[in-house]
Amino acid sequence: MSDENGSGEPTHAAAVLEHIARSLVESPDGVRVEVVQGDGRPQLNLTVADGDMGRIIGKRGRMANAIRTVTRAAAARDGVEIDVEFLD
Amino acid sequence: MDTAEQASTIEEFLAGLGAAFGLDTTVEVSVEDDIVSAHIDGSEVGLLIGPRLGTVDAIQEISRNVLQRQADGREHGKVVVDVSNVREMRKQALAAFVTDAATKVTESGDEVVFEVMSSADRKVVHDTVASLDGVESSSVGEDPRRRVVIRPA
Repeated sequence: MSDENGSGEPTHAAAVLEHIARSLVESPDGVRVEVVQGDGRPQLNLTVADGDMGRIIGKRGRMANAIRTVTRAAAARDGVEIDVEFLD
Repeated sequence: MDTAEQASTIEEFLAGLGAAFGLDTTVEVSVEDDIVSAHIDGSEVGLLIGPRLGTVDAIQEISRNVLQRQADGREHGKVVVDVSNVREMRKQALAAFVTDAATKVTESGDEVVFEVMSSADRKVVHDTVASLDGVESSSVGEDPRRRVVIRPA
C-alpha cells in the first residue's frame, strides 16, 4: 500500500482520469482535471479542448460510463467516493 | 498502423494507467490474428478487476478506443485486457461448470437453461458443448437477456 492511501484526497482518481482523458483526445494538452471539495463527496471535473468531448463521452455515453467506473476504482484506493463530471 | 505499433500503444496506455493508480504493475502485450491481448500483473491488481469484472471490462473498452484514436478512427481489431489471468481462470471455471451440466443433461434427458450471459461467455458454453458427445446447445432470447440452452443431441 502506498502512503497516500486513504488520505481522503482523490489523488489517484484525478491522475487516472487525466491519464485516460489524455490518451483518448486529439489535444492532450487541453485536458484539465479539477477536484472540487464541497459539502458532499469530492467531485472531479474534466474539461477538454473544443471538439474532443465526443471522444470522452462515446457512443450513447458508453465511454463516459467506462471512464467513471475506472476512476471510481482509483478513488477506492484513495479511500474516498467521488463523482465525475464531464464539462463541455 | 502495424501490429508492433498497436502493441506499444496499448502497452503505454496500460503502463501509464497502472502508474496513475499508484500500483506496481507489469504489462505484456501480444498481437495475433488482429487481436491485441494485454496482460496486467502485479500486487494489489484486484482493484483493476472490480466486482463482476466491471473494472477490467471498462479498462478494456477504453483501451479499444485509445487504439482507435491512435489509428485515426480506422476501425480496429479487438483488444482483450486481462488482469492476473482472471478472464482465463473464469473461462476454465465456466467450461468445467458446463461439462458438469452436460453430464446431467445426458443422464436425465432434460434440457438445462443457463442464466443470462455475455456473448463471450456464451461462446465458451457453445465451444465446450461442441467438444462433448450427446449434447447440443443453442442461444435463446435477445441481448441483453440472451441465454444458452443445453439439450440431449
